[in-house]
Amino acid sequence: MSEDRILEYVKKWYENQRAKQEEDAKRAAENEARIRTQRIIAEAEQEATHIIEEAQREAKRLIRTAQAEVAKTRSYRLLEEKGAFCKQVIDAALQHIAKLAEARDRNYVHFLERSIAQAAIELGGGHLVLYLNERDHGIHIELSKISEEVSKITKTETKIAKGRKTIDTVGGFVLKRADGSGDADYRLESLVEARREEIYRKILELTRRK
Amino acid sequence: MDEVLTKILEVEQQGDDQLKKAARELQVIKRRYIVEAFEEAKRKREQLIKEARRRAEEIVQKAREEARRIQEEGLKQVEVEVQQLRKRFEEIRDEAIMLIVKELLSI
Repeated sequence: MSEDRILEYVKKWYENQRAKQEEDAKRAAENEARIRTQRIIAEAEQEATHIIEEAQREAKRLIRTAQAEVAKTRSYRLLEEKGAFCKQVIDAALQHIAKLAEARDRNYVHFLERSIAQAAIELGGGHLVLYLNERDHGIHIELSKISEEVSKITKTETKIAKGRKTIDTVGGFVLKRADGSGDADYRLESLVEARREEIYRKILELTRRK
Repeated sequence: MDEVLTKILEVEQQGDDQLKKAARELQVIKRRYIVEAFEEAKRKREQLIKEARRRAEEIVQKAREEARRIQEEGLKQVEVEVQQLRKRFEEIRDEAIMLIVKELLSI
């Protein structure tokens, strides 16, 4: 091999080495860059997904809140209307009863008589005082007859007498033991209060039935 | 022969030096390349996040509008129901009053 050819060969070898070195460096740089880039992009995509998911959750929450608010308002408004209507009906019913009482209607007088008997039985008979409002004070009630019936049922001698004082009520009465040891409140307001839920239910059943 | 060997050794020495120099240069280029790629990735990252935030804002905004619509329509519907209920109450008012009168007086 001639001197020139040997030198040429060595030079060529170094050129090849440099080319290979460049190629390797390029590949290594690309690999490292790709790994780093992929990691950054993957993290960014994850963060972006998280941002979108958070927004979607917030969107659902906003819709749910709006629906719940509408449902709450609906429930409140309907309840308010029903309550107002029931109150109106009760007030009107009490006014109607007041008119019956004014007219000494027999239905009202019967109600008083039946209720007085019932109240007297509840109190176990004995000496009882009946308190009515001023309007009803003058109504003739068969108190002696009621007293007799109560005596029979309770097996206790019963005497019901009207009290001198009158009470403030729409209608009905209060029956008290003469010794003050107990009473039965049969004022219409009290009866309404005691049966408010049942009365409301009956009114609202009427609304649904027809 | 010695002369030839010396020449070859010289060429080798030059070649080695050049390879070392090239390796250092390549290392610098490699670092620059990686930094550039990193910067590019960061730009992409910012773009992705920006786009996601824009979309998120859009989603929430649409939901706000939808929620407002649900509330408006819902409240209108509630008022319709209230009016229907009031009408119904008017229809049964007298009957309801008499029912309660009977209930109270039937004790």
